[in-house]
Amino acid sequence: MAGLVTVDTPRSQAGIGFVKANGKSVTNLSAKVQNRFCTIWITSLESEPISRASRLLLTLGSRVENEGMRWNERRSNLAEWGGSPTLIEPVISRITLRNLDHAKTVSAQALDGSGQPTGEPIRAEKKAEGWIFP
Amino acid sequence: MRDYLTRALGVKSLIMTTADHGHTSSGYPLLLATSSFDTNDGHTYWQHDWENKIKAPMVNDPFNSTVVELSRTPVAGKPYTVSEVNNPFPSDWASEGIPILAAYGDFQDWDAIIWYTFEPKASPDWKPYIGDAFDISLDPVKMSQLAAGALMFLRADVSPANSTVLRSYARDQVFDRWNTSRVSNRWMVRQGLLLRHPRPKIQLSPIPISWHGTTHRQWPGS
Repeated sequence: MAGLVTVDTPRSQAGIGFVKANGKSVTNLSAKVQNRFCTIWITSLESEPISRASRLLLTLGSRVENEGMRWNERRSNLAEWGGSPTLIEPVISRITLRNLDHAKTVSAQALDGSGQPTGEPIRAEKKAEGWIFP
Repeated sequence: MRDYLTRALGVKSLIMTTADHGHTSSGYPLLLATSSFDTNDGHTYWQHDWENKIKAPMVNDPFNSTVVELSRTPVAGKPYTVSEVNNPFPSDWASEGIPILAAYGDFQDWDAIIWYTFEPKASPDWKPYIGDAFDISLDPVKMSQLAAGALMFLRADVSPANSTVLRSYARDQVFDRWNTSRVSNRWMVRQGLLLRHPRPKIQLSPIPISWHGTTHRQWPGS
C-alpha cells in the first residue's frame, strides 16, 4: 500500500504521501524525489494562477523528531521523548516547474523560520521539460 | 439556553453548540440535539494518543481519515467549522495532515479549520523541541505548512463539489440501538452510513483531488 493524494488546481498543487512510489506529477510541477514519504506543495502567492504568477511558495515536508527521541517497540508511541533541537528529514528532490507561461528567469529563495530570506537564491535552468532546480 | 441568549440577552452572534467528537460511536444522537442551532462543529484526530495504535499513514486508510470522520457532521444550509483537529506527534506521516484537510475542507465547502493547538512557549527558558502530542508551534513542518494551507483553504483554490449528497434520518433511526452501538461496524458509523437502511448512491463529480493506491473495503453483508 502506497497511498497518495494529489491536488491539482490553478493556484495550489501538491503531492501528499508516497510521492516517489506513485511517480505522479501535477500540472506545473514534477519531482524526482528520494524520500519514501513527503509532501511537495506549490501555491501561488498572488491571485494569478501558478502558470502566470511572479511569486510562488514551495513547501516541502517530511518527518519531524526531537533530538534523542526513541520509539517504543510497537512504534505506537515514544519510549524516550527526546529534547532540543527538533530535527527534520530534508526532502531531497529534483524539482521541475513547467507550463509557466511568461517566465524569463526562475529562481528559488530559501526562507528561515520567520519567513525571511536565508542564503543565496538558486537559479533554475530552462530545459525542454521545464525549469529545473539543480 | 439559546432562547435565553438571543431573546432575553439580545445576543446577535451565531450560537455554536458542542462539537461532534466521539468517533468511536454514532454522532447522530448529539446531532439531533445540535442541528437546529446556527452552526455545527466537529473535532477529530488522526490516531489520537489514547488510541495507542501503531502509527500509520492516513493516505493508506482514507475511509477512516480525518476527512471522512469530520464529514458526518455538517448540516445542510448551515455553516460548519472544525475547531479541533490534528495529526499528532509523534508520527512519521504527519506532514500529510494539513494539506489533505485544507484541500478536502475546500471541496466539502467547510467554513473554518482550526488546528489544535498553537501554544507558544512564553518562557524564555523553553528549549526548541516538540513538548507534547498536539502543540504545533514548535513543529517546523506543520508551521510552514500552515501558510500554504491557509492560502489554499481561504481562497477556495479547490472548488466546492458540484453536487451534494444529502441524508436524513427519522428519530427512531437516530436512536436505533444497533446504529448507536459501539460493537456495530465502526467504519459504517464513522461515515454516517446506517447499515440497516439503503446504501446511498454517491456520484462523485469530476474533482481535482483524488486518492491513489487505496484498496476498496467490502461492505459487511453485501
